Amino acid sequence: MRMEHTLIDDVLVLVPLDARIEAANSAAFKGAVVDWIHKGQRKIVLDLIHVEFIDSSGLGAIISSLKNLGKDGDLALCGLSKPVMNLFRLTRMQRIFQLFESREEAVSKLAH
Amino acid sequence: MNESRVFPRIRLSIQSRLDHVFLVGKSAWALSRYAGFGESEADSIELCLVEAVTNAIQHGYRGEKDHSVDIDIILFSDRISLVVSHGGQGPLHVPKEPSEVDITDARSLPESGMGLSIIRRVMDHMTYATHGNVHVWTMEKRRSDE
Repeated sequence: MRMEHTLIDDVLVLVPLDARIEAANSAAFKGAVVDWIHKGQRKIVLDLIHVEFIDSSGLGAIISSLKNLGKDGDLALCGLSKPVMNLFRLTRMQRIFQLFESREEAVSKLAH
Repeated sequence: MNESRVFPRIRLSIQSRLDHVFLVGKSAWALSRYAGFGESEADSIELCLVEAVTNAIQHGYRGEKDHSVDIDIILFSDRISLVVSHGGQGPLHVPKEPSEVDITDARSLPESGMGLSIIRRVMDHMTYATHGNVHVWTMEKRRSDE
Protein backbone atom coordinates (compact mmCIF):
# COMPACT_ATOMS: atom_id res chain seq x y z
CA MET A 1 0.00 0.00 0.00
CA ARG A 2 1.54 3.25 -1.14
CA MET A 3 0.86 6.06 1.31
CA GLU A 4 2.16 9.60 1.70
CA HIS A 5 2.34 11.23 5.10
CA THR A 6 2.60 14.80 6.37
CA LEU A 7 2.83 16.00 9.96
CA ILE A 8 0.99 19.26 10.66
CA ASP A 9 1.70 20.19 14.30
CA ASP A 10 0.54 17.07 16.15
CA VAL A 11 -1.83 15.89 13.39
CA LEU A 12 -0.62 13.19 11.01
CA VAL A 13 -2.16 13.30 7.53
CA LEU A 14 -2.04 9.98 5.71
CA VAL A 15 -2.78 9.92 1.97
CA PRO A 16 -3.26 6.48 0.41
CA LEU A 17 -2.11 6.63 -3.21
CA ASP A 18 -3.84 3.47 -4.46
CA ALA A 19 -7.18 3.98 -6.19
CA ARG A 20 -8.82 1.08 -4.39
CA ILE A 21 -8.81 -0.19 -0.81
CA GLU A 22 -10.33 -3.65 -0.91
CA ALA A 23 -9.70 -7.22 0.18
CA ALA A 24 -6.52 -7.44 -1.91
CA ASN A 25 -4.73 -4.65 -0.03
CA SER A 26 -6.78 -3.87 3.08
CA ALA A 27 -4.42 -5.76 5.40
CA ALA A 28 -1.44 -3.74 4.11
CA PHE A 29 -3.42 -0.52 4.50
CA LYS A 30 -4.42 -1.41 8.06
CA GLY A 31 -0.84 -2.39 8.91
CA ALA A 32 0.50 0.93 7.64
CA VAL A 33 -1.97 2.98 9.70
CA VAL A 34 -1.61 0.86 12.84
CA ASP A 35 2.20 1.19 12.61
CA TRP A 36 1.81 4.97 12.98
CA ILE A 37 -0.54 4.48 15.95
CA HIS A 38 1.91 2.12 17.63
CA LYS A 39 4.62 4.76 17.15
CA GLY A 40 2.50 7.05 19.34
CA GLN A 41 0.49 9.03 16.79
CA ARG A 42 -2.88 9.94 18.36
CA LYS A 43 -4.42 12.35 15.85
CA ILE A 44 -4.77 11.09 12.29
CA VAL A 45 -6.44 12.54 9.21
CA LEU A 46 -7.03 10.04 6.43
CA ASP A 47 -7.13 11.96 3.15
CA LEU A 48 -8.90 9.70 0.62
CA ILE A 49 -8.52 12.11 -2.29
CA HIS A 50 -6.94 9.45 -4.56
CA VAL A 51 -9.24 6.59 -3.51
CA GLU A 52 -12.04 5.77 -5.96
CA PHE A 53 -13.36 2.60 -4.38
CA ILE A 54 -13.52 0.97 -0.95
CA ASP A 55 -15.19 -2.37 -0.19
CA SER A 56 -16.26 -3.79 3.17
CA SER A 57 -12.72 -5.13 3.80
CA GLY A 58 -11.28 -1.65 3.31
CA LEU A 59 -13.95 -0.18 5.54
CA GLY A 60 -13.13 -2.82 8.15
CA ALA A 61 -9.49 -1.69 8.03
CA ILE A 62 -10.52 1.93 8.65
CA ILE A 63 -12.74 0.81 11.55
CA SER A 64 -9.81 -1.16 12.94
CA SER A 65 -7.66 1.98 12.79
CA LEU A 66 -10.28 3.86 14.81
CA LYS A 67 -10.37 1.07 17.39
CA ASN A 68 -6.58 1.03 17.64
CA LEU A 69 -6.53 4.75 18.35
CA GLY A 70 -8.72 4.16 21.41
CA LYS A 71 -10.51 6.78 23.43
CA ASP A 72 -7.55 9.17 23.65
CA GLY A 73 -7.05 9.21 19.88
CA ASP A 74 -8.85 10.99 17.08
CA LEU A 75 -9.44 10.03 13.45
CA ALA A 76 -10.96 12.20 10.72
CA LEU A 77 -11.55 11.42 7.05
CA CYS A 78 -11.63 13.78 4.10
CA GLY A 79 -11.66 13.79 0.31
CA LEU A 80 -14.31 11.08 -0.01
CA SER A 81 -15.33 10.34 -3.60
CA LYS A 82 -18.99 9.63 -4.43
CA PRO A 83 -18.57 5.81 -4.45
CA VAL A 84 -16.74 5.93 -1.10
CA MET A 85 -19.40 8.18 0.42
CA ASN A 86 -22.00 5.75 -0.96
CA LEU A 87 -20.34 2.93 1.02
CA PHE A 88 -20.34 4.98 4.22
CA ARG A 89 -24.04 5.73 3.78
CA LEU A 90 -24.94 2.11 2.97
CA THR A 91 -23.23 0.93 6.14
CA ARG A 92 -24.38 3.98 8.15
CA MET A 93 -20.74 4.66 9.01
CA GLN A 94 -21.16 8.33 8.19
CA ARG A 95 -22.69 8.51 11.68
CA ILE A 96 -19.55 7.06 13.25
CA PHE A 97 -16.70 8.85 11.53
CA GLN A 98 -15.82 12.51 11.34
CA LEU A 99 -16.04 13.29 7.61
CA PHE A 100 -14.82 16.52 6.01
CA GLU A 101 -14.68 17.80 2.47
CA SER A 102 -11.19 19.26 2.70
CA ARG A 103 -7.96 18.32 4.40
CA GLU A 104 -7.73 21.78 5.95
CA GLU A 105 -11.10 21.37 7.69
CA ALA A 106 -10.16 17.93 9.00
CA VAL A 107 -6.76 19.05 10.33
CA SER A 108 -8.30 22.14 11.91
CA LYS A 109 -10.88 20.00 13.70
CA LEU A 110 -8.28 17.61 15.17
CA ALA A 111 -5.78 20.32 16.04
CA HIS A 112 -8.14 21.79 18.64
CA MET B 1 -43.19 -16.70 -35.60
CA ASN B 2 -42.86 -17.35 -31.88
CA GLU B 3 -39.41 -16.06 -30.98
CA SER B 4 -38.58 -15.59 -27.31
CA ARG B 5 -36.46 -12.58 -26.50
CA VAL B 6 -32.80 -13.19 -25.80
CA PHE B 7 -31.32 -10.67 -23.41
CA PRO B 8 -27.70 -9.54 -23.70
CA ARG B 9 -25.48 -11.70 -21.54
CA ILE B 10 -21.73 -11.80 -20.97
CA ARG B 11 -19.62 -14.31 -19.06
CA LEU B 12 -16.48 -13.13 -17.33
CA SER B 13 -14.03 -15.50 -15.72
CA ILE B 14 -11.22 -14.54 -13.40
CA GLN B 15 -8.59 -16.40 -11.44
CA SER B 16 -9.44 -16.70 -7.76
CA ARG B 17 -7.08 -13.83 -6.91
CA LEU B 18 -8.24 -10.90 -4.80
CA ASP B 19 -6.09 -8.53 -6.86
CA HIS B 20 -8.09 -9.46 -9.97
CA VAL B 21 -11.55 -8.79 -8.52
CA PHE B 22 -11.49 -5.18 -9.68
CA LEU B 23 -11.78 -6.42 -13.28
CA VAL B 24 -15.31 -7.71 -12.78
CA GLY B 25 -16.25 -4.80 -10.55
CA LYS B 26 -15.29 -2.25 -13.20
CA SER B 27 -17.08 -4.31 -15.88
CA ALA B 28 -20.29 -4.44 -13.84
CA TRP B 29 -20.11 -0.67 -13.31
CA ALA B 30 -19.74 0.04 -17.03
CA LEU B 31 -22.51 -2.38 -18.04
CA SER B 32 -24.83 -0.96 -15.37
CA ARG B 33 -24.32 2.53 -16.71
CA TYR B 34 -24.90 1.28 -20.29
CA ALA B 35 -28.14 -0.36 -19.11
CA GLY B 36 -29.42 2.95 -17.78
CA PHE B 37 -28.57 2.77 -14.08
CA GLY B 38 -27.58 6.01 -12.42
CA GLU B 39 -24.01 6.60 -11.30
CA SER B 40 -24.80 5.94 -7.65
CA GLU B 41 -26.67 2.72 -8.47
CA ALA B 42 -23.78 1.57 -10.66
CA ASP B 43 -21.40 2.25 -7.75
CA SER B 44 -23.57 0.05 -5.51
CA ILE B 45 -23.80 -2.72 -8.13
CA GLU B 46 -20.01 -2.74 -8.51
CA LEU B 47 -19.65 -2.90 -4.74
CA CYS B 48 -22.06 -5.86 -4.45
CA LEU B 49 -20.31 -7.84 -7.17
CA VAL B 50 -16.91 -7.21 -5.58
CA GLU B 51 -18.31 -8.38 -2.22
CA ALA B 52 -19.77 -11.58 -3.72
CA VAL B 53 -16.66 -12.50 -5.71
CA THR B 54 -14.41 -11.73 -2.73
CA ASN B 55 -16.61 -14.00 -0.58
CA ALA B 56 -16.25 -16.78 -3.17
CA ILE B 57 -12.44 -16.46 -3.18
CA GLN B 58 -11.94 -16.05 0.57
CA HIS B 59 -14.45 -18.64 1.76
CA GLY B 60 -15.21 -20.83 -1.27
CA TYR B 61 -11.58 -21.28 -2.26
CA ARG B 62 -10.10 -20.35 1.14
CA GLY B 63 -7.82 -17.84 -0.57
CA GLU B 64 -6.26 -20.33 -3.00
CA LYS B 65 -5.29 -18.50 -6.17
CA ASP B 66 -5.31 -21.23 -8.83
CA HIS B 67 -9.06 -21.65 -9.30
CA SER B 68 -11.60 -19.71 -11.32
CA VAL B 69 -14.68 -17.69 -10.51
CA ASP B 70 -17.26 -17.16 -13.26
CA ILE B 71 -19.51 -14.14 -13.41
CA ASP B 72 -22.49 -13.85 -15.75
CA ILE B 73 -24.00 -10.42 -16.23
CA ILE B 74 -27.42 -10.33 -17.90
CA LEU B 75 -29.09 -7.12 -18.98
CA PHE B 76 -32.85 -7.65 -18.76
CA SER B 77 -35.15 -4.90 -19.95
CA ASP B 78 -35.97 -3.80 -16.39
CA ARG B 79 -33.08 -5.13 -14.30
CA ILE B 80 -29.50 -6.37 -14.18
CA SER B 81 -28.67 -9.86 -13.01
CA LEU B 82 -25.26 -10.83 -11.61
CA VAL B 83 -24.51 -14.54 -11.28
CA VAL B 84 -21.36 -15.63 -9.44
CA SER B 85 -20.36 -19.30 -9.79
CA HIS B 86 -17.49 -21.18 -8.21
CA GLY B 87 -16.50 -24.78 -7.56
CA GLY B 88 -15.04 -24.29 -4.12
CA GLN B 89 -16.41 -24.94 -0.68
CA GLY B 90 -20.07 -24.31 -0.11
CA PRO B 91 -22.48 -23.24 1.00
CA LEU B 92 -22.28 -19.48 0.99
CA HIS B 93 -20.35 -18.12 3.93
CA VAL B 94 -23.01 -16.13 5.78
CA PRO B 95 -21.57 -14.06 8.58
CA LYS B 96 -23.83 -13.08 11.42
CA GLU B 97 -25.60 -9.80 10.92
CA PRO B 98 -23.72 -7.22 12.93
CA SER B 99 -25.83 -6.12 15.83
CA GLU B 100 -26.98 -2.53 16.04
CA VAL B 101 -23.91 -0.35 16.10
CA ASP B 102 -23.37 1.57 19.30
CA ILE B 103 -21.96 4.88 18.12
CA THR B 104 -20.75 5.71 21.61
CA ASP B 105 -18.44 2.71 21.73
CA ALA B 106 -15.96 2.25 18.87
CA ARG B 107 -15.11 -1.19 20.24
CA SER B 108 -18.53 -2.48 19.16
CA LEU B 109 -18.00 -1.62 15.50
CA PRO B 110 -17.77 -4.65 13.18
CA GLU B 111 -14.51 -5.04 11.24
CA SER B 112 -15.81 -7.80 8.98
CA GLY B 113 -19.02 -9.47 7.88
CA MET B 114 -20.49 -6.31 6.35
CA GLY B 115 -20.43 -7.54 2.74
CA LEU B 116 -23.62 -9.56 2.88
CA SER B 117 -25.57 -6.84 4.65
CA ILE B 118 -24.46 -4.39 1.95
CA ILE B 119 -25.74 -6.76 -0.74
CA ARG B 120 -29.03 -7.24 1.09
CA ARG B 121 -29.44 -3.49 1.35
CA VAL B 122 -28.67 -2.78 -2.31
CA MET B 123 -30.08 -5.70 -4.26
CA ASP B 124 -33.77 -6.40 -4.84
CA HIS B 125 -33.34 -10.14 -5.00
CA MET B 126 -30.66 -12.62 -3.95
CA THR B 127 -30.56 -16.42 -4.15
CA TYR B 128 -27.93 -19.04 -3.48
CA ALA B 129 -28.00 -22.52 -5.00
CA THR B 130 -25.73 -25.52 -5.39
CA HIS B 131 -25.75 -27.53 -8.63
CA GLY B 132 -23.49 -30.55 -8.19
CA ASN B 133 -20.15 -29.11 -7.18
CA VAL B 134 -20.90 -25.62 -8.40
CA HIS B 135 -22.16 -22.93 -6.05
CA VAL B 136 -24.18 -20.18 -7.68
CA TRP B 137 -24.98 -16.82 -6.17
CA THR B 138 -27.54 -14.74 -8.09
CA MET B 139 -28.25 -11.08 -7.37
CA GLU B 140 -30.69 -8.83 -9.17
CA LYS B 141 -31.21 -5.09 -9.17
CA ARG B 142 -34.15 -3.38 -10.84
CA ARG B 143 -33.60 -0.12 -12.61
CA SER B 144 -35.31 2.80 -10.96
CA ASP B 145 -36.47 5.82 -12.92
CA GLU B 146 -33.94 8.35 -11.69
